[in-house]
Amino acid sequence: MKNIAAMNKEQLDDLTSKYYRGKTSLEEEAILFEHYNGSPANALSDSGKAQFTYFKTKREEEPTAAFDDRVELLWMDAPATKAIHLHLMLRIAAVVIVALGLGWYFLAEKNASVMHTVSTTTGEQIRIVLPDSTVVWINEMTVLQYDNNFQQQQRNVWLKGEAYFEVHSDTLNPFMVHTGEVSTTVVGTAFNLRGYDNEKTIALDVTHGRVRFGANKKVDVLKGQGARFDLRHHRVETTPSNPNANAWKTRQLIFEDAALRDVLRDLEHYFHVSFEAEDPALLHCHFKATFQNATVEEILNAIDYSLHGRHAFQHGKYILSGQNCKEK
Amino acid sequence: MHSEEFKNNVLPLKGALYRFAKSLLANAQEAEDCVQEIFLKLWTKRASLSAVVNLKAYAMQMTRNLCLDKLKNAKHHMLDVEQVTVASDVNLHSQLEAREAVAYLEDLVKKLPELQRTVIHLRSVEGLETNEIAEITGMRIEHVRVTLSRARITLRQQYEKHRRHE
Repeated sequence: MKNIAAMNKEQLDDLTSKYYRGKTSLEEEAILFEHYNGSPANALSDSGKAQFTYFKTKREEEPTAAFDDRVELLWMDAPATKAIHLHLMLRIAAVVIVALGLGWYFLAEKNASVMHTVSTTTGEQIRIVLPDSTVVWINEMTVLQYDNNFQQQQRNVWLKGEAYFEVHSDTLNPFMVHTGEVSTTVVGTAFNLRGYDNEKTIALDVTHGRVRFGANKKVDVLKGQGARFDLRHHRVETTPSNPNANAWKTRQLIFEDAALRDVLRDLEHYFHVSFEAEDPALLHCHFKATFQNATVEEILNAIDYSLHGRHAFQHGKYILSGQNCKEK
Repeated sequence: MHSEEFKNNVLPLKGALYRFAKSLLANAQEAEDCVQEIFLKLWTKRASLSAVVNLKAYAMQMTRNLCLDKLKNAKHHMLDVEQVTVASDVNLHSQLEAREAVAYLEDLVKKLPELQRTVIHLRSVEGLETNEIAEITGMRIEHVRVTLSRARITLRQQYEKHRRHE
């Protein structure tokens, strides 16, 4: 403490007590800042040293480089801006915002103004913020589009694939997601919507608030509920919400005493591999567990353990075998 | 304010707005979203910005309001709890010790009442004058000083208590 800023102990004590009384000027605080950040780290038992070391690290915090890109886009008519990648290894370059090519295409098709398109490839997930502050997590192989004058009238987006929406509340301007013939209308809420081209249903799961969902006939879906639209029979029905609907985003799988049939369906969605039970009776066994960031092997080992079974990987799929659990 | 002016005057505020939002929201990603929203708001009302005397204070005020709104609406929101590693009896060397002290203070600051947290951040991290802080928070200047003093003393007491129990 002796060598720094030509300050003796008395002066330091004066300044310090003034500091704690809230009476120091900015200049005096700058002197304390210099003093403490020049003193050796072993003085950390001193609360003043600790406070000013903390302030120094705080002053050095800056937003990420990706943030600069987002801000850059603000004055280009405020399109959706990229947020943070969920997959670290995938870089921003992978995100394609097709402004011109597809824009013209939709100009002709919908005779509306320019469309913004955000798309993801296999294994890619991104999170974007729309001009109305709605946050959208986009799962892999998905295309999300929205109008240039998005905010002026109704908030319309078009989805092919899967996304989780946290819709910014605005009762005057409903938010609509169009998935083929099905539309999902909300004012402010959070929900997961899955509508891949190669699947038979469009699946909605509501986390917060209330959603209006369907094609010609629409249903109201509340928090904790889900709805499935059957694309073959064009019918909509409500279901309990699937707790794993947005597992792709949270990396968490929850099975609350679920039938193995449902467990395997969720695992198929999550890991993109197929499962089969040697004895179909196994599919009615129930399983309860929660996984975070787990691999398929870890989960199967847990299932084996709880159902006294085994698993093997054959011909591109996992085969589960074991005794029928009803004997227990 | 046209776009060139906007870039020169508003963009340089991003670090300060980000740090402020982060201190209130305790989450880096949400802080970035918040600042983006503020920039968007400022950009849409850029025509009237020339009339604003202290742009930084004005933007900080907007940031605080937005963050407080977000905190109010997000009931599911939780402070991220375990950034602080519990001190072990390993002989830490000085760098580790500094990091640990910083993490501990971070935790203490998070636990301060919002107003104290705001005031100490604006003062000690952003280096603002008391009258600017009064403008941003809508407090009287004397109240700013008292709040600042309380926050500093609480940090000292809690920190010393923590050192004694180590």
